[in-house]
Amino acid sequence: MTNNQQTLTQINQLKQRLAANDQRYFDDLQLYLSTAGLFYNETQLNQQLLNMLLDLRDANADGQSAIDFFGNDPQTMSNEIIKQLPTPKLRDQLSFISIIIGITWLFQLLYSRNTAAGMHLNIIALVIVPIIEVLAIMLIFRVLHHSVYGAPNRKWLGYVQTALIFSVTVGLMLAFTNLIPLGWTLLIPSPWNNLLLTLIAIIATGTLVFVLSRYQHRKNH
Amino acid sequence: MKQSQLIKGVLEGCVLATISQGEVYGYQLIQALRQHGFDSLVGGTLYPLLAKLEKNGAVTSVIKPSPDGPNRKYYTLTSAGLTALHAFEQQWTQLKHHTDQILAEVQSND
Repeated sequence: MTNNQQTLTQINQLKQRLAANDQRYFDDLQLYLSTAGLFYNETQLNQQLLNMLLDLRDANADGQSAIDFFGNDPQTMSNEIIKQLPTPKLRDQLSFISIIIGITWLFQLLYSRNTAAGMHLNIIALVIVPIIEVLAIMLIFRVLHHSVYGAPNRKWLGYVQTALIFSVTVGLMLAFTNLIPLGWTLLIPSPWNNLLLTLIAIIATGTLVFVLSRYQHRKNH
Repeated sequence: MKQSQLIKGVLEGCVLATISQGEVYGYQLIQALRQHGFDSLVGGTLYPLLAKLEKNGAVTSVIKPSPDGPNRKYYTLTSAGLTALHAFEQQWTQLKHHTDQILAEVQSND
């Protein structure tokens, strides 16, 4: 288990022991901070939340609620904390973007048009779809972030915005992958296309077995 | 003038002064400041300030095992923080001197 996973587990365990109002207060705080941006260092952010939660536990023991301890303006507190977070490192940004690109390309490879000549890869889809996905995730984060401390009677707006982003994203992805006639294509000739797909299947199966065995190992210890 | 506005200006110096007495974690720091008269101080003011001081290099933190649960973050003063504390002490002494003088003049005129 990574440090960040351990911190998250501790946060979740400690939250269970809070009173209902304090749990709601802290859940909102956690969601607001976690959705402040895609690229902030998650480990650092969760460590900050864990420290605040541990302090809240002490405050609870002294008879103070979350509002007594943190104050009644959690949004301003969070905004001030976000301002002090270190600028996301290029490495962290690239690692997230590369995961999105990797997953997209994997599905593009699996769903590409195969003929006797080989596999026809849609280059426009390979380039545009990951960009659309990153933009959609950023927009959904933004909607979630603003909905946390938004007016309670306008919560529906967040759901509508999320549904809209989701629909437009799926529509654009389908358009670029299937509907727009193939412009630039890259041909992976036979039998290399079959070898590539076999390789992907082996790596995917290996990864699945590895993840499951680690999960089983963790469960047994 | 609201007391909170006055406090805002000196809180940073008082946080540095409290941390200079030994490493502390967030709740200990808030309690110490409250015991010294900052009754209305809340985490909403302190956590962003601590994050700012840490980012500026005035304080540093270390995660240490805690006897009563998960590891905690303890803050200590850095040499830059000590310099900032000395600067605050000088500024405060001067400011207090000037303020006392003005108030003394007002009182003597009454």
